[in-house]
Amino acid sequence: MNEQELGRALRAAVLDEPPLTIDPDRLIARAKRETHRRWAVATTGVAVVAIAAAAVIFAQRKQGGGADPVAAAPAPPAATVTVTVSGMPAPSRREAELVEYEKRHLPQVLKGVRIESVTGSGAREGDPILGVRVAVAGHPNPLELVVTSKDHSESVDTFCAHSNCYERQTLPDGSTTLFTNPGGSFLIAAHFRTDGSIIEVNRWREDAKPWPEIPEAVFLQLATDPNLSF
Amino acid sequence: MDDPAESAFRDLATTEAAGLRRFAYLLCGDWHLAEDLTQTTLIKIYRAWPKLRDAGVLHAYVRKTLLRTWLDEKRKPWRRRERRHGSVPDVADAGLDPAHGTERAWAKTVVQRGLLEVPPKQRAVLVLRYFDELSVAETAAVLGCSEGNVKSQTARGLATLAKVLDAGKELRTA
Repeated sequence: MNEQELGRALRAAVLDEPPLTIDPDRLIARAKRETHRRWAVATTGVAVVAIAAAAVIFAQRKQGGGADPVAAAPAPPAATVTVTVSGMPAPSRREAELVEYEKRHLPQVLKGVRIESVTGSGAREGDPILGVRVAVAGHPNPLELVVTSKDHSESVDTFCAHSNCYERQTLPDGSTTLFTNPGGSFLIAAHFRTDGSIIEVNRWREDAKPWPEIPEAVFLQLATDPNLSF
Repeated sequence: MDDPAESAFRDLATTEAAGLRRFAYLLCGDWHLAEDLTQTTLIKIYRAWPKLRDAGVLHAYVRKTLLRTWLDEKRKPWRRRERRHGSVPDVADAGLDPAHGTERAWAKTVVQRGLLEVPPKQRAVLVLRYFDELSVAETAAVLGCSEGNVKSQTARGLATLAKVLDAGKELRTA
C-alpha cells in the first residue's frame, strides 16, 4: 500500500460517520461543573486536614496539662480514616496494599531491568478492577498487573473466543494459565483462578520494543503469584 | 472565563469537533468512543484555555491533547474487559450501495483490519500524515518528538500496515 492509497482509504473510512451530537454549550456547562467539583474536593481536603491537625494539637495540650506537648503526648492511636467527598469513593485500600507488596516483590522477580516506579492505577473502593503499574527503565509503557474480581470476570472459554490464546494450561488446582497477544500491541499472561477472579500481566509492545531481559515465563510467574489477588 | 474567551472556545469547539472526532475514530475504530474522546479533549482544552495564547499552535495542541486522552483511555484496564461486539450503525451503510461498495469495503478493511493492528504511535503518525495531511514538522510538533522519529515511524507504520493487510489477504485466499 502506498501513501496515496492510504490517504484515500482513511478519507473513505470516515464518509459514513454518524451525526455529531457534541453541543459546545453543554460541554462548557460540564467543564464548569467539573471545575467546581475539583475545587470543592480540594477545599474539603484542606479543611479536613486542618480540623484533624487542630484536634491532635488540642488533645495533646489537654493530656500534657500545659507541659511540653511533644514530650508528654502519648503516641497517637493508629487509625484509618476514609473520607468521601461529593459522593466520590475513597482510593482502593486493596490496590494500595498490592502496590506496597509489589514494590518489595517485583525486584526479586524482574531481574536484569531497573524498576523506576510502582504505582496504582487509581482504582476506588468498590471498583471491580485493580491495577499496579510498573515503570521500567528504557520502556515507554509500563508493565501492568491487573486484578479483576470474580463478579466482573469472564470464563476462560469466553475470553479465548475473542482473543488469540496460546499455551493454555490447566494447573493442578484447576485454574488455567494462558498467553494472548491481542492486536499485536501487547502481550497478556493471564491466570484464571478457581475463585473466578482473573490476574493479567500486560506487557506493551508499542514501537515493537522487545523485552529481552525478561522471558515470557516470568510474566506468568507474576500472574500466578497467590499474593496478587483481589 | 470571561465572555469573549468563552465565545472563542465555543467557536473552536464548533469548528474542530467534527474533525477531531474523525481523527479519534481512525485511532480507536469506534465512533462512540471517538465522540467520548472528543468531548473529554474539548473539556481539557476549556480548562487550559486561559493559558493558550498562541493561536498558531492551537491546532497541534488540540490534536496532541486528543492523542494523550486516547492513550490514557486505552491503558485503562477495564477497556480490555470490554468486548468487541458489532454495533448497530447510526446511519445507513453506504457500503451496501454497489456503486460505492468496493471503495468503502476496502477502506473499512484498511482501517478495521489493518490500521487498528498497527502499534499506537505508528498509527497516530499515519493518521496525522495521511488523513490530517500534516507535514513531518507539524506531526513532530503534535507528537512531541523529532522529525527523524516521525519519518522512521511513518516507514515502519506503512510496512506494518502492508504486512497486516497482506496476511489478511493470504488468510482469505487460503
